[in-house]
Amino acid sequence: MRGPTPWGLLLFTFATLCTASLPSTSPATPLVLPPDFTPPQVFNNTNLLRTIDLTRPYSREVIAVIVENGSNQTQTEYYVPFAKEVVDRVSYVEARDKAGPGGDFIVRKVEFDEKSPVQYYRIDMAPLAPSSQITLQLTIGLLHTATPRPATVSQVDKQFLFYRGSRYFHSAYPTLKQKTKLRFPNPEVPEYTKFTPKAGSTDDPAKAGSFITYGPYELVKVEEKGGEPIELMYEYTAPVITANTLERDIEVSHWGGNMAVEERYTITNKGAKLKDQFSRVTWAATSYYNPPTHAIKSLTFDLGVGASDPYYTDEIGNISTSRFRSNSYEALLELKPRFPIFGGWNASFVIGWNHELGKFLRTDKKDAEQYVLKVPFLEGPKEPIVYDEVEVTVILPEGATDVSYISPIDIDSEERYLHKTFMDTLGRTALKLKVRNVADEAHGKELIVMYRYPKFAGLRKPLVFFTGLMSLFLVSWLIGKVDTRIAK
Amino acid sequence: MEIEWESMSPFAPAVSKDLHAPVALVLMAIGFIFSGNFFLNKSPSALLVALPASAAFAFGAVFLMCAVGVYV
Repeated sequence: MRGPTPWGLLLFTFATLCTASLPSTSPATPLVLPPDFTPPQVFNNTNLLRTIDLTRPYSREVIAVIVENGSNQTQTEYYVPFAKEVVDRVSYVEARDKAGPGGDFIVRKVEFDEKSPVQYYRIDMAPLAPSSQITLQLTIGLLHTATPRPATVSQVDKQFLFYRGSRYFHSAYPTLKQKTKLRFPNPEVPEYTKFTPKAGSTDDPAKAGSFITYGPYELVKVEEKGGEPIELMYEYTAPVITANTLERDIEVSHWGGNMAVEERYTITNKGAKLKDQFSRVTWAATSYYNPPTHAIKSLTFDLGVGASDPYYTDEIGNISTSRFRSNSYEALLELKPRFPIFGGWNASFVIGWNHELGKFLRTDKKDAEQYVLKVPFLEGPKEPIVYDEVEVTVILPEGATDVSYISPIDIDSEERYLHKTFMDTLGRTALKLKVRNVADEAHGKELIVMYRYPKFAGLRKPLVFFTGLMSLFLVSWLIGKVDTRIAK
Repeated sequence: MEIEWESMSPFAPAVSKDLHAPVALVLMAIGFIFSGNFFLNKSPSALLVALPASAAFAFGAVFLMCAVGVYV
């Protein structure tokens, strides 16, 4: 050995390589109320219009309601009740001040008594003075509201879905006047619950084109909850696409200037099952005139302008039935599954692509080590789809610290860990966000991730290689110095 | 957040994607030349040649990985 210098350098390098710390975690804060909680009766719903949109594989209820503060104190908390069996299928609840300057309000799920038949969401409104009014707009996304009926159809039959809802809006407050309007994909609604109209009024419900309207109803008390159930059967020509799981990885590479996205889907068609065996002949014959079908024939993903190197594979290997159309205003990846996916059938596949990192990552002008990543939380196909479980993993460069994020949708759980892959010594800082019950309206909403990436952390990879090679050279030089001659 | 985003500057990598392969090739070539020189020369000064050889190989390896699509 020639001296301590090379070894000192080696030890110093490894010591510094091993000192990077794990990112911190932030706990979620649920809204916990006592088990005997009931919403205080402080509001009246003066006028309420509920519109239920059934044109997609989930239901989207928009409720416009004039809320009046009936108490003698200023109120802010408005509660929205859900039956226990429904609350697990709630995708989102959004609330905003429709007419006034209040904007979007914070909505949180209340945790009080798991066994209670009624569960609540709480809206934190702008303060409402006694006997004043506000026009509140609630938007509720509910998954798995419709089931195919009949449950089995033949390959070329029409598919009908069955929906069960309530006559009135289930409110925690008395409603003076209300109406429910249902919107269907097309006017084909062969069966729907009919009520005897009150004297002097028209039919209940009234059907016009692809709309059915129940009401108006006067004074609905809180005890009535939703009132009698309404049951409908409507034609749904598209497949009921459900992603049982979606794992989406977003990998950031500073060295490569690249953002790699990979999405692993397991999808099911929750539509009507086939009555008989699948007939390839019928399928081939009908595809000439391309009628609407309840099987999943193809999926189209918009990857965003500038996407490159797409791939579409499954456990067998590359699936060749895909087309990538990329130009200056869109980049569409059109996929065809290996087989048409009929009701009850499953498919799993993986798609991935690359993007220039500069489009999604920005750095602070004052602090060059501070980065902000802004990426779509979900992208997904253009076809209507719902997701049961979604895991979005953001893999940041190795050595990134102080990770924080702003999510466009409520996160069920988060996990932070180190993801080890090529050329890593410590592992890359990874943030995994898990969400359940996501409707496709979440497509394109942006997730913001902020992190620090010190200059030295960027040099970790070449430095590790440099140290390794340098020690190889040193060892070879030392071995070359050994005198192996037997005699002088 | 929106305003902050607008005032930030887009990330620019040290070497753009198109240049990964040429940069990697040049660096690897430099690495090979210096290491060839190292193995031909057994004097203590050979270790001085090993320094640029290791450095060129190290950065060359990173860009070579990026050039083949494994964005490290």
